Amino acid sequence: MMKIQQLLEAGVHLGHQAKRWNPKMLPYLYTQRMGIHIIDLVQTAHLLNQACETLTVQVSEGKRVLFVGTKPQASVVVEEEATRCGEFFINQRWLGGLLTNWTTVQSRLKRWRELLEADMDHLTKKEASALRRELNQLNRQMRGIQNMDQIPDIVIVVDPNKENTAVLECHKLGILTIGIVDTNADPESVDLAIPANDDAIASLQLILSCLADAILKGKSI
Amino acid sequence: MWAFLASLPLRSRSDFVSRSVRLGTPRSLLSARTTRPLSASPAASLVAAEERAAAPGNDAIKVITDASTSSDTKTRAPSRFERMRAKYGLSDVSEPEAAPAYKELDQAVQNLSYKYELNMIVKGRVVHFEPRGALIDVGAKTAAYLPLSEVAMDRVSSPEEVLKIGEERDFQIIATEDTEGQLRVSIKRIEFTRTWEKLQQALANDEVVQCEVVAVNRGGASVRIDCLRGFLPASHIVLVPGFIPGLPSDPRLEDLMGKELPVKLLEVDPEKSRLVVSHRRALAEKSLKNVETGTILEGTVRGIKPYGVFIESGGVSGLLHISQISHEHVEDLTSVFTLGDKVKALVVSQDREKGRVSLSTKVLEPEPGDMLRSPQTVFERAEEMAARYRERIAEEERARAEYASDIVAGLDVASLGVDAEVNGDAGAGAQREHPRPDQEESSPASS
Repeated sequence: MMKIQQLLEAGVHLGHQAKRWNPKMLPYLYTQRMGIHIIDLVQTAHLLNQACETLTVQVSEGKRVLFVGTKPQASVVVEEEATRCGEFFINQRWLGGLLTNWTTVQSRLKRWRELLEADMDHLTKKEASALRRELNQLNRQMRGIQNMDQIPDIVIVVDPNKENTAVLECHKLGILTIGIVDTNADPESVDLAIPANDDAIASLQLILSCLADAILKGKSI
Repeated sequence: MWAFLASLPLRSRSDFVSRSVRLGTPRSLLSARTTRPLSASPAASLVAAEERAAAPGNDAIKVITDASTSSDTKTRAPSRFERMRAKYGLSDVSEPEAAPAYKELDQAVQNLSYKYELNMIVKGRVVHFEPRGALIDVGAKTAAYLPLSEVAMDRVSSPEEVLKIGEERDFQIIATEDTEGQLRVSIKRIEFTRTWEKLQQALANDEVVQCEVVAVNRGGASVRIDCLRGFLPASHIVLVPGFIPGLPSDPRLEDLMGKELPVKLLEVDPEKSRLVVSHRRALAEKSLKNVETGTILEGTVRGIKPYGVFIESGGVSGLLHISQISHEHVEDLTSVFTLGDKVKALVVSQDREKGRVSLSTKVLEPEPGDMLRSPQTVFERAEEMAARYRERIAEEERARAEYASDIVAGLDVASLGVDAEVNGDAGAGAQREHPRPDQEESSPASS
């Protein structure tokens, strides 16, 4: 259970500048102060709780989760928390069609596995360097989904505004989306919106770790 | 806190009906529609606050004012924000259990001082490195961005050269929030200001600073101090191997490239971005210790002016005034000296501050007029003449000192007047030889 104090300290309540808001966020905003919107943390706590419980239940039934966060601030936290709870993540650019064109992406993953076993010693220097470059590329792009065998069941998005392609793909495929929405995002774009500051690293750390804990709890059941 | 739903069955997107916890109560919805704000501007709302609050049927606003009692904003007139909420039926807290939580939130909001303006200096902590910059947590909503170009005065290839993750230091805001709400910060600007301040202080305290020569041109050298560029005029450079390590025996200005020199500041003007330094003056301190009044200075003629000749030796520049060259009248300086001549002269006095000395060859002349006729003789016998000069000076000093002390000794307060005058006129010898009987006891043995 999140305490309001914790959320405050992490700066979760700080929204974007008032002029850059999405009016759909009105129900989740507490007030406007010094030109920025303040998010209603009471609701945040409640919705975060809801999300955690959903996750725990779903994961206990064997569902897989994918974390998506490509913002520079988010990338580190996303990777950390996802690996901590043993789920998948995307923290570099979201490749278009990652989910809707899953078969193609799968073949890239297969190629990656082949490359890992390639014998570099019996190749020319040029060939070896080309393969190494490919490996680096794959590592960078798909490090988080290396072991993903099928499309995940739940996707957690850090900023649905920024990751709108990811969110769209999920909708097309009927995947449950949980999103950390800031005051400039559309809360209706995701299935379960957690209104919070998506920019501050402390805020993301707090929320994502809470979700990750819920996942771990679900796995241990 | 509250009691929540135990578990939520998985629903697809279309199944989710209610997105918001706070539902507008029918009563407030109804009243919201009837109470239109008088005018859209916040100013008007503030002015008309009392009237509206008092007006009957203003349920929406009443709800707002009743619910959260500890909040100042709501006992004031409802802001535009709140009016909007009222309009859409999202009036205040529907669950009384949440009141304490809202109180906490409210307090935090009241204490919010969110100010991040241009050119403000803020404390920040490095949290993450980007390929071309770094993210700094300054307490704002978003981590501020520090571009690579603003990390240091000189170009660095990556921010890791200057910063570490978790390092806390000052940054200056160079751009306010952009579309992402991100500030841009800089270290360079602060260093800039700080270095100027440091140099201004060094100028005031006449301190020596280190600089590095980065370029050489016709007027002198372009040097770098910390992160600022300055100029070292050629006339202030002492191009002598003894004083600059690593210089070849016949040095040219270009040989100074890359060298580190101690300099003193001549001009520090941040507004005009002017920074002028002097190598000579920094060395003057050192070299003046070697040069004492009364010693011979051997140097080269550096400049000829109508009033005298400039002679330079080591780090010391001295002026040989035209009147001090010879006992005889000197018509034309160029007939006696040419640029580059090696000469010897006596140091008559020093000016530590300017790093200059006053020279004289007149005193070195064995016979008056020798300097004009045969300078070589003068130079050859320079040491001898210098010694003699020193002796003479010392003698004069002694004599003066004795004279002075005798006068003082002879003075008797009671006999000030005629007697004192007579004693003074008699001089030292007379006093000692013929002590007045009545002053015997009072005159001390003064030898």
